[in-house]
Amino acid sequence: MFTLQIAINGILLGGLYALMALGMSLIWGVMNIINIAHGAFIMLGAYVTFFLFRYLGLDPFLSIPLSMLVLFIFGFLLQRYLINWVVQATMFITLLLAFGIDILLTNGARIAFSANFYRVNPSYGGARLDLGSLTIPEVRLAAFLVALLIALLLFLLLKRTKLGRAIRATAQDLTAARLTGVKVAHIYALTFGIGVALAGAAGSLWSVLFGVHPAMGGPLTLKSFVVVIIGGLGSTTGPIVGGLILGLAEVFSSAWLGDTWKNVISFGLLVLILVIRPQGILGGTK
Amino acid sequence: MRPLTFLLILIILVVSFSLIPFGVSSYWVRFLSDIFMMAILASSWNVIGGYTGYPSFGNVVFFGIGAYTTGVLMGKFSIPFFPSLLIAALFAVIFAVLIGLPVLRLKGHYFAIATLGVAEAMREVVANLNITEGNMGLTLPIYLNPNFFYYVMFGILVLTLLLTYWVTRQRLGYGMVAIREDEEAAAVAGVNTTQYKVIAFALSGIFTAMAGGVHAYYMTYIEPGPVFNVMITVEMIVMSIFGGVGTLLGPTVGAFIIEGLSELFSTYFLIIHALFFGAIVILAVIFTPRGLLDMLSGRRRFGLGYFLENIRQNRV
Amino acid sequence: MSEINGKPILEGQGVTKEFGGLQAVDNVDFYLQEGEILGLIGPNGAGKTTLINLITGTIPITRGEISFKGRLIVGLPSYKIGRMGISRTFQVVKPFRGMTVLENAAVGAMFGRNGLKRSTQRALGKAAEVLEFVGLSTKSDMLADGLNVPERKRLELAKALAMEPEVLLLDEVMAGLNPSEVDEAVGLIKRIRDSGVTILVIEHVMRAITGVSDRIFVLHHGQKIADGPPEQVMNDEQVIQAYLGKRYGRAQREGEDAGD
Repeated sequence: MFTLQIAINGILLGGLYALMALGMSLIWGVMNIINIAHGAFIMLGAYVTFFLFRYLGLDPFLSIPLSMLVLFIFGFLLQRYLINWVVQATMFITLLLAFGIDILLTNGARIAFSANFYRVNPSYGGARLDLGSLTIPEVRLAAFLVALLIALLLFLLLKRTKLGRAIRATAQDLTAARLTGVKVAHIYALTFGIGVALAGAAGSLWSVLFGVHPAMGGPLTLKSFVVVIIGGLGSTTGPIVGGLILGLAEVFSSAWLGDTWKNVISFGLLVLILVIRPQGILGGTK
Repeated sequence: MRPLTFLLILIILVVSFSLIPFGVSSYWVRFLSDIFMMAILASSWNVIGGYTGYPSFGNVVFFGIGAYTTGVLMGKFSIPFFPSLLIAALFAVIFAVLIGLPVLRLKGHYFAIATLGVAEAMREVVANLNITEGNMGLTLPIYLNPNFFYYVMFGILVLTLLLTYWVTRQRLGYGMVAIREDEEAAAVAGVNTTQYKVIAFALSGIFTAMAGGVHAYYMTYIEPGPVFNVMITVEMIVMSIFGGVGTLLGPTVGAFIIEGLSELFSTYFLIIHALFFGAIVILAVIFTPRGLLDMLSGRRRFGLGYFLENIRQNRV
Repeated sequence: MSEINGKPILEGQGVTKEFGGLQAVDNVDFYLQEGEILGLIGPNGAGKTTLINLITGTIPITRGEISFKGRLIVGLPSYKIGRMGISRTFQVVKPFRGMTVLENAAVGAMFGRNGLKRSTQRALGKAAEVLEFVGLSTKSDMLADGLNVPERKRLELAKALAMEPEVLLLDEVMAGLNPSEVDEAVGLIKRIRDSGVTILVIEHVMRAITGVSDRIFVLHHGQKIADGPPEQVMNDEQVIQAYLGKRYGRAQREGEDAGD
C-alpha cells in the first residue's frame, strides 16, 4: 500500500512535469531550438498567478488562462523580434541566445520581484482526498487533471486544426511548407508563443504546489530536458510518458535513497537514455 | 599561423604580463588572474567545441573535478600544491576517457545535453560524498599571495596555447578538424574518429582541471555549486564564440574582452553585472556568430553590412 | 563467366544488406582483379552505392563476406579499411569545407595507407603531388568551400588518391560534367589505373562507362544480373529490360527474330 501511495504521488507529479516539458518539446520539435530559458518562462507564469492571487484574489486555477495569454503574447513578440534573428544559425548559437534571455529574465525578476520565496495558498490548499490508506492532496489532483486537459487541448490543436497542420508541416520541412504558402515566420512566432504559454500554465500550477521565486527556473529547465529526452522528441505523447517516468523515478528514489540522490538519478537517467536510446522511448528519427 | 609569428606573439605576451605585477596594485593582479583563468577555460573548450566541432555543454565538470581533487588532496591528505594539480589533471583525463567513450557517440544537440547532464550529475555526486564534505564546503590550506596565483595561472594559459598550437600543426589537429567538417568523410579517409574525439575531449579537460585546482587553492574554500556551475560553461562558450571559435587566439581575446568588461561593470551592481552579461551574450550571438577575429580578419567587409549579413543568413 | 587470373584483390560472396524488409543488396557475388577497371551500373536504387558502403564499412552488412587481398574486412571500422588501402569517393561530394584544398588532400595523405609513417610536412608534399595529378594545383590555398562543381569532384578524387589506395571505388564522379569534362575524367581514371590502382567505377553516363571499363557488372533491385565485357553486357537482354522496361526488351527480341 505504501508503494501504491508513492506511485500515485509519482504519477501526479509526473503529469505536472509532462505539462512543463510539452512547451519545450513543441518549440524544439518545430523550430529546432532548445529553449534553455524555458524555466524562466515557467517562473514568469508562476509570478503572474501569484500577483493575480495576491492583489486581486483570483483563484490560481482560474488565473491559468490569463497567465497563458500573457506568456503567449510575450513569447510571440520575443520570437518575432529577437529570436528570429538567429533561428537558422547553428544549434549552439540558438542555445546561447536562449541562455542570454534566461539570464536577463532571471535577474530581471530578481530585481523586479525581489528574491523572496512566495507561495500561492488558496483556501482549499490543505484539503485532502482520503481513499482507504491513500491520501491525495486535492490541489495535486487538480493540477494533474488540468495538466492533462491542457495536453489534450494541445493535441487537438495540432491534429485537428488548420494552424496545427501548418505547424506540423513547418516542423517536417521548412522549405516545403514555405512553398505551399505557409507563412513560416508567423508560424514560428505562434509556435514559440504557444510553447511559452504552456510553460506559463505549468508555472501557475507550480506556484500553488511548490511556490515561486526568481531562481526556480534553472532546475525546471533541466527537468524539462530530461522529460523531453526520455520521452522522445517529435511526438505529443513523448513528454507525457517522459514526465510520468521522471515523476515516478524521483518519488521512488526519494523514498528509497533519500532526497540527496534524487537529482543524481534524474541526470543519470538522462545520460543513460541518451547513450542507449537517444531518440527516447517514443521518439521519431531525429 | 607561422611558427615565428606565434613565437613572437607569445614572447611579447610573456614578457609584458610577467612585468605587470610589479607595477600595479594587487586588485589588478587578481583581476588579470581571473581573466587568465577564463582564457584557459575558453581555449580548452575550443579544442573540443571549436576544432573538433563537438560543442560540450559540460566542460565545467573538469573545472570542478580539478578544484575538488586538488582540494581533497591538499586539504585532507596534505599533498603539496603542484603534485595535486598534476593528479587533478590526470583525473580529468581519466574522466574524459570514461565518460567520453559513450557520450561522444552522440551528435549535436544530444551531445550538448548529455555533457550538460554529466556536469550536473557530477555536482550532485560531489555534493553527496563524504570525502568532499558535500554541501558544507571544503577547506584548503591558506596561502595569501596574489602574485603566485597570477604567475601560475598565466603559466597554465601559456601551456594551453602552446599545446593548442602544437596540436593544430600535427596529424591530430588535421584529424580533429576533418571530424568537425565531415565525420563520415574523415572516417573513410582513415581517421580513427572515436580515438581522436576522446583525445580532444581529454585535452579540453587537462588545463581546465588545473585551472580549477589553482582556483581552489586561491579561494581556500570551495563548494560544489559554484565550481560545477553551468554558467561557467556558458561563459567559456560565449567567449570562444565572441573571439572566434576554432581559431587559436580567438577564445583568449574573447575572454579578455568579455571578462574584462564584466569585471569592470561589477564594481557597480552585482545584478547589473548579470544583466550586462546576459545582454552581451545576446548581442554577441546575433551580431558576431563567427566571432571577433573573423570580423577583423578582413575576409569580410567590416561595417554595418557585416552584421546585417549575419542576421540575414540566420533568420527565417 | 570470365576467366580469373590469380586471386582477386577484392571479392565478395553472398553479400546481402537488408533495410527493414527490403533487400537493398541481395546475395551478390563479385570480384575485382588486380589492375582492372570494373564498371558497376544499374538503374537508380539498384544498390550500387549500398554495395560500396558495405565494402568501406560505412554501413553494417547483414550477411555475406567481403575480403581484401585474402583478408576478411567485414565488420572492420571504416578507418581501418581506408588504411588498408581501399579508398572511395562519395556521390554527393564531401569536402572538408573549412580547410584549404591542400589540407583536404593532406588528410588523405596523413591517414591513408602509409599515412601514419609520414610527417605532416611530407603529407603536405604528397598532397601537393596529388593535386598536381588531378589538376587542382592552382587552387591549393583556396578554401574547399570556394570550388565549383567539377573542381569539387576533382578534390574528392584527390582526397581518395592521397591515401595511396590499392583499390579505388568511384561513385558517380562524372555526374554533372559536360561531355568534354567526361572525356577528361575518363583519361584521368585510366591514368590512375596505369599507376597501379584497381578501380571500381559506378556510373550512369553510358558512353563513359563503356569507354573506361575492362568489365561491367550490373545490379538491379539489389541482384547481380550481368557480369562480363562491355559489348556483351550492353547487349544483354536482361540489362536492357532493366533500364528500359520489359516491353522494349521484348520488342528488341521480336525485332531481331523478324530481321533474320
